[in-house]
Amino acid sequence: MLDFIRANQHLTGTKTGCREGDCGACTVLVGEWADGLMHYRSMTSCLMPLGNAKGRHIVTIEGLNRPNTLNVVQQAMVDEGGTQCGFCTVGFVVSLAGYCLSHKDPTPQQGIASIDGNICRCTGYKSIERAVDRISTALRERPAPTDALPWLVQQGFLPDYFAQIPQRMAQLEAPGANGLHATGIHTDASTDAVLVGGGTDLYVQRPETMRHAAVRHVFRADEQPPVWREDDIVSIGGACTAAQLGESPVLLDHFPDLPAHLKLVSSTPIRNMGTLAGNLINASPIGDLTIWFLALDAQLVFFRDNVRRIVPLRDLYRGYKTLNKHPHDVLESLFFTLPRPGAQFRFEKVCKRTYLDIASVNSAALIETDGDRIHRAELSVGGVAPVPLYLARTSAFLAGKPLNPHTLEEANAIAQTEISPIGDVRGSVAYKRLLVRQLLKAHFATFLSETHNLS
Amino acid sequence: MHNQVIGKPISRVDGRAKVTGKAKYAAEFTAPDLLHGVVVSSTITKGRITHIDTGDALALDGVVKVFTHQNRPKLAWFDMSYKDLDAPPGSPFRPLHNDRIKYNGQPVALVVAETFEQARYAASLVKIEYAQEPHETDLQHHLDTARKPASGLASLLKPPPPKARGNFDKAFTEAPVQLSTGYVHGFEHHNPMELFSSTVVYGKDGKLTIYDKTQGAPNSQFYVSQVFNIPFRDVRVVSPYVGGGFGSGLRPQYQLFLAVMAARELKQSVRVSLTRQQMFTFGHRPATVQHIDLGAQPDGTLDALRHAATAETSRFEDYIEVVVNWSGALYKAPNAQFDYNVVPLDQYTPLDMRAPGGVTGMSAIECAMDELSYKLGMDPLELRLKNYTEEDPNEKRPFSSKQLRACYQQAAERFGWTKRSPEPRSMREGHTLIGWGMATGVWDANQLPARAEAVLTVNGKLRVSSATADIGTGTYTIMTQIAADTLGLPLEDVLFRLGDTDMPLAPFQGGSLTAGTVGSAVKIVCEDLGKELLKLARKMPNSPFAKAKFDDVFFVEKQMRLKADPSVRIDLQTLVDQNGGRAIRTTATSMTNSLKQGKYTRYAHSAVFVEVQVDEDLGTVKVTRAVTAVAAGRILNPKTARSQIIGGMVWGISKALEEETVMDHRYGRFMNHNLAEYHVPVCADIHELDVLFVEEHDDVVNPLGVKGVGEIGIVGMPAAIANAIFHATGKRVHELPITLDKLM
Repeated sequence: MLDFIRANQHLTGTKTGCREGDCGACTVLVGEWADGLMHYRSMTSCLMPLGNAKGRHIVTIEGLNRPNTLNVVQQAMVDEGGTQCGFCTVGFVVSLAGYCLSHKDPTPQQGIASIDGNICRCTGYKSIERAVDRISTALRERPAPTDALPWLVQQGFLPDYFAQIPQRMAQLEAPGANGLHATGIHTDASTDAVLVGGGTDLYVQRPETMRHAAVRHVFRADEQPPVWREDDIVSIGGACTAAQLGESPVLLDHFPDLPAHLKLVSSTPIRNMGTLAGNLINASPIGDLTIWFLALDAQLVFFRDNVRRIVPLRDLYRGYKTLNKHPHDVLESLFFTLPRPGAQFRFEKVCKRTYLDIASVNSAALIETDGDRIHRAELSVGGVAPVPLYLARTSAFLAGKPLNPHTLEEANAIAQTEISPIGDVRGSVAYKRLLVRQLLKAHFATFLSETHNLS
Repeated sequence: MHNQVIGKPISRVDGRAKVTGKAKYAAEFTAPDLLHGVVVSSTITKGRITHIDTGDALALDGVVKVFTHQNRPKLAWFDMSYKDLDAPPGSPFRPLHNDRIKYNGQPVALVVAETFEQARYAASLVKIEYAQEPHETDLQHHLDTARKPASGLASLLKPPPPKARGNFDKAFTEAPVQLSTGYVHGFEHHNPMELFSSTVVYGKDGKLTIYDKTQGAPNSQFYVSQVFNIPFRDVRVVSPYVGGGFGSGLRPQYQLFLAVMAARELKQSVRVSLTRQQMFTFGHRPATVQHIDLGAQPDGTLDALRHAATAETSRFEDYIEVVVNWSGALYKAPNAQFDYNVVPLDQYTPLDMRAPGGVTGMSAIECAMDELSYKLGMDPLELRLKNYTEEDPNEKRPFSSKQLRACYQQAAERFGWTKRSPEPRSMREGHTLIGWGMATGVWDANQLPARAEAVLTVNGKLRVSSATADIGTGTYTIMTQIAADTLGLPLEDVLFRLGDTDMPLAPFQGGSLTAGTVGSAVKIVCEDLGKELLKLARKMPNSPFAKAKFDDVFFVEKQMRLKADPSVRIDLQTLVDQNGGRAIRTTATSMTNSLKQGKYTRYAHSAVFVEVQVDEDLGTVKVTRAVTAVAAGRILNPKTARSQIIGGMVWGISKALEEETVMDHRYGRFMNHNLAEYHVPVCADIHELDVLFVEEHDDVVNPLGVKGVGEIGIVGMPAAIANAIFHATGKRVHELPITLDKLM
């Protein structure tokens, strides 16, 4: 998308900063027409396969410019000194336009969250934060999503043509018509074509081969929500993005901390693109969502030659990036059983940067207690083995044990025998081992009384 | 000068172009039939290329040529021709010169194709075989080979270590309180957001117009002219917008050489852009090992000070920076010794990076002073004030101005320093350890000669130009302000242009010297224009200005007025109309007053106070609050100046906690050469930052009395943070950045 915008469309406002989705200089907005509304999300165009644009409204900075005058976001950025060298600026402006177009409440916190994938090397961000405050104030009167677009145009947030976009989008063929289903794969899967979801890992790791590979794209389909529930089984489509996970009422009901967890996963534009299946199949030993679902004992539904096969996530990883899966197996969805009421689900990630970072160590825990005994504890850790690791023996040990620091020390001793970290830029072996201990304790901290000293 | 806009928080005049995406950077200019070049980088660190197979690459549609050392054109013979205006002593790196590999990531081929995609794919098909030789890249393992750096022209702005004073050995041995300590930091890369790119437009007559990412268009022009033996007039370098520099654009980078070579050989326009990975294959802040000895009286008076530094450089050039001099200028210790050495290794030559040497040396001395304060049981700020000096002990001369004491006082008050409990680990809240630390910052306030042109057009608009740069600093804006006030025009009637070698010569943008240097040229050229206007006024019939001298008039509200009687006035438009339908044009050079300036040490100063929170269980550090007070002479624009200081402070946070290029010395290769793992702060890492500008008058530094503010913001931050972390945790980390693992 980035090359198409700059080289074919000669729109050079969108900048090339890293081609790896790390800096946000190439951010564009991608609008989808669904449920009678436009839904705009920010994405990094450097990692977006052009095919993913099908049926979507792609907005670059040029598409946000108003004739002869600045839009509200741009004016706030100029007035507050939010631009210095200017190279990252356009990405910030586009992300903040996404904030203006979002259906969430226009709070400064949401505004700041919208730029969590944009790096600025000059300003130190404070001037941009002031611009966000101004924009948030200007958005205070924004009406409900159904009426927001004309209002945003009228108030000078957007150029006039945005008001006609819903009509124009409604006339487009539904993107899913010839493509793949967001929640299930309905086309012939026995092909060597690479299945591309958001592309956020594939285009970083294999940019040259991906350029020449046959690819199949995944499209959203309206009929099925990305996350659905039957009794106490929750299913999630393989093409569900990290952002969609965080918006799912089903998940939010049972995992109230999910938004806080997802904030630690890459950045807004990447969460808007990257899919659950992509995260699991990419098999990174440190994949955040992988660790999350390992603790929930998720079951994967693979589809090939019109046959479905169920594989526990815990059996998927055989070695570094080696999968218990046929190359033509397509990860259609996963499902898991909801934890029993009162269970705690925790996710911790330690990294050098607050957000937009790869973990040194991450860990998830599902904890069910009976009084002061552990009924069930399911622990997973990332970054300490060639694969994302379910701590099978540690988890088994904890079942039925009393909740006290002694139990945790014993559990740690077992966990230390399950992990095999290597020293790298994210930390030394000793540090990662220490982190596993600390995270184990952090998971149980809320259960322990004040008298148990964690450190 | 009647100050209408100088000193006011004017918004950036280039803001509109930048927020709309209309500002064009080096890779965004184009030409008919533009070809695209992609660089192939060496995968070994030292050795020879034994074989290059370009067959697969050349067989692809659209691939025009693959340049290697085997087929490159003949170029300038002598090293001299490859020395750009900022080259350190040595023999500059020549891309595609021969089969030798001198460092990992060295450019070894340029693939040129009709589209960028074709070139990029073809580049992946070039097969290169090497004969590897053992390499040395680890500074700490080769300290025994340290030697004095060669000196050259660069020492003009980078003085060698000061001469020893008193008798250090004796004073240190006899000092009742002694401290010997050391500090280390690794490689850092500038990583401006914009990737290095050059678009070379090949003119019909073979003349070149080059859009280059550079902090000094004249330097790129000089380099191209020398290397390719082209007259200056046939090379024009244009660089109106630069997506960040921080020093990386002080020297021409290899994409410029490669793009010009390809364009000349193919007689066609060529663009070469580097990748983010390749942004780690040229200059960097050098890894440095420092040692400091301090000897003090129980009351804190410093008797003895020794500061020694050893930094890495390449095998081919001796990069130097000023690391140890700052300690000697800041503290009046009567017995002092300084030493600075380099260790040549198999890597690219280091390059000035924001406050080069300054932030390095000050981080060490200000941490050492903090260590000493605990040894003495003395407040760290008290210790600084105890050893405060009004005279530069290195040069035994006064400072042109030094409001550092006011910086300490005002920043400490704003921060609430008196509420600090001195004991380490004494300010915890649950599992969060809180620490307060402080440090000092110092940076040069240099001025160089510069030229500028001013034109008052027939419709009364002022156009001023100078071949300087604006790498995000605010040059466009402050120069517009200076010009507007000098000739009494509103901002909207003034257009300042820069970044073009067709404009009058100015030095590159670096060392925080643009405001004083180019600002002086703009002031003088506008005054000269004012003098021309006065001449026109005097020639008018019955002119009330007939006997007026330039000192008798002033300019305000688009008019020239008599100081003695401001009701005597004339519109500038009327004066232009007197010029026979022609614009009025002046060119001027601002010279430095070396005689006067040489009598003074000219520095900007800062005091930094920082609060950190450390998670006791995980080692994560947050800088929750920082106050910097800056004394930098006159502040031309508090809005852009504040941005510069805040930006510098965030660089300081980055240097203290996040930023480091980590090398795997087995391969001599950087492991984290991308923005995912070369950490620079994200918005969520940055909390409360406060900036105070302390009033400071200085009529020595330059005619405007300004000291640059691009660098002073970073200088004191890393030490203040490290000191706050010690106060929080009781743990003294001697190696930057202080990552979580070092605190556990």
